[in-house]
Amino acid sequence: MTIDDVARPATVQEAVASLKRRPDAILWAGGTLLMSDPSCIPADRLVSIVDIGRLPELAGIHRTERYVEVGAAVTLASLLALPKPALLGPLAMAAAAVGTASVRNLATLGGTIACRNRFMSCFAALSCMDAAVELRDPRGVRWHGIHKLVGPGNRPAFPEASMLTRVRLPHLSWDAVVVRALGDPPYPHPDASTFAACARIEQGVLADLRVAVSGRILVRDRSLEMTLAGRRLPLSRREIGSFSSDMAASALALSIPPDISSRLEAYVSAFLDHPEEYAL
Amino acid sequence: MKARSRGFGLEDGRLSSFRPPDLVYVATVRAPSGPGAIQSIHSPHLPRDYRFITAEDIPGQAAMEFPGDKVPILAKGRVDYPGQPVGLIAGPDRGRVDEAVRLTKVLVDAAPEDGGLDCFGSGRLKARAQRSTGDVDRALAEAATVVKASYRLGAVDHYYPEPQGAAAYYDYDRLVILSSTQWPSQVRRAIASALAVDQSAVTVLSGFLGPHLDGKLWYPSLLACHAALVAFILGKPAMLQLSRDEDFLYTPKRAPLLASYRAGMDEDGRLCALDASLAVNIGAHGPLAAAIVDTLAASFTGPYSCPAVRADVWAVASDRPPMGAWAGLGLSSATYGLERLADACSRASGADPLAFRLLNVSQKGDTTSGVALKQVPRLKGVSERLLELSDYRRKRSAYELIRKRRPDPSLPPGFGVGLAFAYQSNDLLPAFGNLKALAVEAELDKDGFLTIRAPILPTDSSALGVWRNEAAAIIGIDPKAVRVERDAGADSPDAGPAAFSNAMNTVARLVGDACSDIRDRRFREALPLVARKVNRKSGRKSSPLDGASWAGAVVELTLDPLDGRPRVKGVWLSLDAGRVLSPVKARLSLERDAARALSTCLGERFDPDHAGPASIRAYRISRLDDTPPIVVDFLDTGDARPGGLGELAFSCVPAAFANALSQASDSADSEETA
Amino acid sequence: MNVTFILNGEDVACTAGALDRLSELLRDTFGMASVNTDCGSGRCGTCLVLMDGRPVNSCLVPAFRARDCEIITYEGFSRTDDYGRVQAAFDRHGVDLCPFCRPARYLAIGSAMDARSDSRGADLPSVLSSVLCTCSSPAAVLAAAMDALAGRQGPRYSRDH
Repeated sequence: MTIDDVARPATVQEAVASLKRRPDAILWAGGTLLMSDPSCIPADRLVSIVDIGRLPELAGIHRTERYVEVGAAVTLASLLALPKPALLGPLAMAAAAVGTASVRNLATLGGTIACRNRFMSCFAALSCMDAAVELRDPRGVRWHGIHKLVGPGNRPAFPEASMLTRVRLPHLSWDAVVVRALGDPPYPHPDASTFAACARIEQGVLADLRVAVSGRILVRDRSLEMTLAGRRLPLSRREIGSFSSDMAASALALSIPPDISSRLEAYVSAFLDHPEEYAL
Repeated sequence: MKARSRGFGLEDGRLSSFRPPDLVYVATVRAPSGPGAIQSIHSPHLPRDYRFITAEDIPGQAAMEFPGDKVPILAKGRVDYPGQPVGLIAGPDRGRVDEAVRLTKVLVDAAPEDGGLDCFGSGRLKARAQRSTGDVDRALAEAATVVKASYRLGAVDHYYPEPQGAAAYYDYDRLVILSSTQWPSQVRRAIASALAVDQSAVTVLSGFLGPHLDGKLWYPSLLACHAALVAFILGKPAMLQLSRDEDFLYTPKRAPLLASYRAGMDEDGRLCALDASLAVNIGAHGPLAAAIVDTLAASFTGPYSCPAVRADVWAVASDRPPMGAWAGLGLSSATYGLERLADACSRASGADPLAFRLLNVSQKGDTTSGVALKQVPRLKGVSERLLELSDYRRKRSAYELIRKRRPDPSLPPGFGVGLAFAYQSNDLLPAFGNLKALAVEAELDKDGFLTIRAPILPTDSSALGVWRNEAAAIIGIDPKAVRVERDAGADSPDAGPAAFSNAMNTVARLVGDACSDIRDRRFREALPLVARKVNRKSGRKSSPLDGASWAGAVVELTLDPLDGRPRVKGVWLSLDAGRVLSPVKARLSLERDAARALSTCLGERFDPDHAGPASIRAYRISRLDDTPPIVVDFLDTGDARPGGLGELAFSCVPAAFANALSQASDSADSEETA
Repeated sequence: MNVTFILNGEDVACTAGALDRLSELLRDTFGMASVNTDCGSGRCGTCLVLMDGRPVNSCLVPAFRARDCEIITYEGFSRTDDYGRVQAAFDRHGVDLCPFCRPARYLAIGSAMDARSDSRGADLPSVLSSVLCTCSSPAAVLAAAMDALAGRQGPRYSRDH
C-alpha cells in the first residue's frame, strides 16, 4: 500500500472538509483493526488518511437523564472506566470482550461501528440497545437509528464519505444481559459472530426482550421479540422452543450457516430458560 | 568479534538482540504445498549483497542424521510436507529479504497423502515399540468386565517466549552459533556435518530457553544449520528468526495421539488384562519417533498392577510438518490415556474413581512394569492430601447426585470434578547422550570459594541459584562464594540435551556428592580440596516407578449453560517429589505448568490438516485473568533425594480435566463396557 | 513523514512511513531493545509501551499517530522509583519474569500505579492479561503486581520528593 497523505484536522468540520476532497479517504480513529489486518487498507491505490483520533469533539462523553452520548473516538477502555459501566448494559459487556486491556486503550467505539465489510462484536450490543448514531458529511449532520447502517440482506451499509461523530445510548435498565462469541472461529474468520441478548423483567413478567447477532450479517427480529413481551416467567418449554427456533430460522433465511444458526437456537433457548442467571 | 558479540545485548539471551555490524538477515523460502516433486523455483532478481541459497550450496551432508531418520537441511528435488524449507534468502535489509521471499515462487507437484491415525499402512511406520506380559487374550476372555475405550490428544504448540531462530558469526576461524537449544552438542554436530568442518571449529552459545517443554531438542539444530550456512557462504554474521506465524505453523508440536484400550477386570474390580494400541502422528520427519514410542510403551501401565498387559505403539508418518515432543516425550500422553481409562473402568465396575485406582496400584515386588518394584508407588499419601485440599469426595458425591437426578436427561448435568495421578521418572526418559560419561568436579580454594565444573548447566538462572544454595548449604559457606562453570571442551562427552531432566538430575546428584565429599574432608585436609564425581549407574535394571516423583490433580468445573464451554473453578495438585530444594520456586513452576496444562485443554486447538495463517488466531492460550485458582502442595515425606517436577502437571491436569468434563457432560462417547 | 514525539522524557524526531509500526520504530530507530516485534496484531502484548500514560500495543500504533505523544518504554520506566517498587515486589514473591514479558508487564503495572490511570486495583488482572507469556505462575505475577500497587498507595509524592 502507498500512503498519499495524512490529514490531521483540528476540528470535525475540517475532517469533513478533508473527506469532501477525498471521499475515499480512510478515517483513522483507533486503527486497531486497520493495523492488525492489512487487507483492510487498499493495496491497489494511493491511500489518504484522515486522522480523527484526537479530535476533542469526538472524545467527549455526556450523560443526560435519558441517554449517554459518546464521541466516536472514545476508546473502549474509557467507556469501561465510566463510574457506572453497568448502565451501558450489553455494550459494556461487548466492549470488555474486545482484544485486551491495552488494545482497548486504542480501539474506539466508532471503530467498532464504522467497519465497512462486517458488523463487529459491539454492533450486536448496540443493536439491542437501539442506539442512535450521528453522521456527518458535507451536506450536514443527521441523527439516525443504528439500524440505518444495516443495508439490504442485513449487510453493512455504512454511507460513503460520511463520518460517524457521536453515538447515543438510551438509558434502559436491563435485568439480564449476555454477550458471547457465537461459535469458535474468531475474527477475521468470515463466520465469526457475536450473540447479544438482554431482558427487562418487571414483577415476574418479561417486560422487554432484545436478541441480536452480528457478523457478516446482522440478525435482529423486533416483531419476534414482541411476541414474548408481557409473558410471565418462567416461560414455558413451548414458548422458548418456538421463539428460539424462529430466531434460528430468521438467521438461516439470512444465509447464516446452519451450524451457527443451530447454535444461536441453543443460546437463545438457554437465555430464555433462566434469564435470571444473566443478571448484571 | 567475540568481545563485541557479548556486548550485543545478549546478556538477556534474546536472539532478537543480536545486532552486530554487517549482519545479514535470513528468511526461509518454503514449499507452498506437499508432499511432492519440486517443479521449479523462481526467485526475483536479487541486488548485490543478497543471496539465494539452496541445498546445492551445502558443502557437507545435506541432511541431519538421527537414529532412524534423516532431516534434510533444505529440500532438494522433493518436499515431504507443505512449508518445508527449500531455500534461504539472505541480505542486509530485513524488509527486502522478506519481500524477496514473498516474490519467490516454488512450484510443487503436490500429491497430499492421508495423515490420519485411524487407518495406516506399514509404509507410514516411522518407529514401533511393543511390550507384553502374560496372556492378554485369555485374560480378557476370562474377565468379568471388559472396557473398550479410545481417546485422542491433539497437536499442541509450545508457544515459546521468542519465536525460534539462530544466529551465526565467525570469531576468527571459529564459527560461533547462538541458539536457544536444549541440546548444544547436537547443534554443534549437525553444523559440523553440514559444513564439513571439524566439531572443534564450532562453538555453540545457548540463548534464553524459557519453558521449552522438550520442544527445543532437535529443531534448533535445523535453524542453526540455516544460519551457519549463510555465515559460511557470505562470511558475515547471519541471523534467522522465524516469524510468530512460521513458528506456529512449522516447528514441531505435541504429536497427536490415538490411544485405544481394552481393559479386563475381575469381580472385585481388579485389573486382569490391559491391551493398548497407541499411535502418534509424527509428521513427515521423526527424529524423536523412536524415543516417543519407547517412552509410551514403557509407561502405558502407569503405577497400576495388571498380570497380563500388551502394548503396540506406532509412530506414524504423515505429510504434515514434523511433530514430536511435549513435556515428558510421550509420558504425559500415555498418562492421559491411562488415567482416562481408569475412570472408565471405575464407572464400569461401579467403584469410586479413587478407590479403583488405590485398589489397583502396584505393590512391592509387582512386575507389571517389567521389573520387580522395590517401592510401593506413593499414591496413598498424595491422594490423602489431595482429598483434604480439594474436598473431592463431597463434591464428587454432590455432582453424582445432580447427574443422576437431573429432571431433563437430555441436558448435561453441568457440574464435574475429576482426578488423575501421574509420575515422573529419570529412568523412563531416553538417554540421548552418554550419561555414564557425566562427571562433575568441585574445588574449594584457599580463600573459601567453591567452583563447580559440570558438563551441562541448568538453563534458567533460578535453577542455577538452587544449585548454588544447595552446594553452599552442604559445605557451610555463603552461596555468593559458589561459582558454577560449564566444562564444555570439544572433547567433553555428549551428555544429551541440557535441560533434559535425566541428565540434569544426574548432574545435580553428582554436584551434591562432590560437595558432600569436600564437606567431609574440609577440616581434615589442607585447602584447596578437589572432588570429582563420575556417574556410575548400576547396571541392574530398575523399575521406572522406583524413585519416581508422584502427583495427583483434581479439577473442578461447570459447564456454561449458554455456550456449553467448561469453566474451571479450581485446580488442586498434591506432589511427592522427594526433597524440594527450593519450595518457592517449585510451587511457582508447578502453578505455571498447571495453568499451561489447563490452557491446552481449553482453547488450544490446532488441526495440522487444516493449518493456515488463521490457525494462530483461533489458537487461544489462556491469559492471566483466564486462570482459575491453582493450589499446589508438596508432601514432606523425609525423602532426601530430590525428584523431577517438570512433567507432572502436564501429565495429570489434562486427564483430571477430561474426567471432570465427562461427569459434567455425562458423556463417555468413546467408551463401551461388555 | 517527519515524526516527532517525546520518548522517555526526551524530544526525538525521525523520518518514517506513515503506517510504520511504532514498535519497529522504537526498536530499530531508537534502539529500545525492550520492545518486541512479535505478533504485529496486538495479541502478544510484548511490545507494550505507555502512550500518554496508557499502556498500548505499540505494534498497533502507526508512526503518524505517535506524533506529539509522550511515549515511555521499559528503558524509561526503569529509571523511575516505581520501577524499583515493582522489582522489589517481584523479588519478594520469588517471581523471575522472562526477558520477553518483563518489560511489558512492568509497564502494565507501572501504568496502574499512575494516578491518572483507569486501571487500578480491580482492573490489574485485565491489564496484566494484555501480555501473553507462559513463563511464570499467573497467580504469583498477580500477587507481586498487587503487592507493588499496595506499596504505591497513598500520596503520589512522598515528603522525600
